[in-house]
Amino acid sequence: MSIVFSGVVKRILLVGALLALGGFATLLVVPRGRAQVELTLEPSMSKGAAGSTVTIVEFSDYQ
Amino acid sequence: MKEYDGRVRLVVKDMPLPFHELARPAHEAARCAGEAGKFWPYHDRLFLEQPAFERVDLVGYAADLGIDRTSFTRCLDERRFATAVEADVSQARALGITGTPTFLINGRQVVGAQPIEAFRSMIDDALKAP
Repeated sequence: MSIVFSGVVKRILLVGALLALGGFATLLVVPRGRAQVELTLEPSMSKGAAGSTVTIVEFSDYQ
Repeated sequence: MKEYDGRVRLVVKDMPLPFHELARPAHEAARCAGEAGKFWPYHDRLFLEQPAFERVDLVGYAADLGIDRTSFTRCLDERRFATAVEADVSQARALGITGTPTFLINGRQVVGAQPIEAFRSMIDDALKAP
């Protein structure tokens, strides 16, 4: 009987094995969710009613 | 926009890319045009004329729209909206946005120009969302 490990499991086992050898430290930072960013809004640069159900914000470059 | 009249709002944010040397003055100029009540026609003109964004071009486009040349030039020269443009760039950076155009449809990030059908589908989804 053989056990097939997925890629994720293999990576976990590899990291565990490396840590067990000693001399290693985990320097990776656990990613946090996307930051909440407050967007400023210039009324002259918007179209449509302020109370619209959907707001589309477009970041654009004229060039 | 007409198709979704009253249900969808479009907000434009400035994100002049650092390797586009003429972009930042163009973004500042568009805000100067906005101050004169002509943001959208000026915005459309810039896309039509890109990348002809030398100072003389920017002033010329404003004059074509009937914007007072003297006050517009003063706005450009004193870089009245430099801070506002930079604020948009900072907000884009904080959101992890690195390219243009990038859209946020009720917060859902969409990168790159998409076919109109794709936008319609995403907007319809957002309108149906509880």
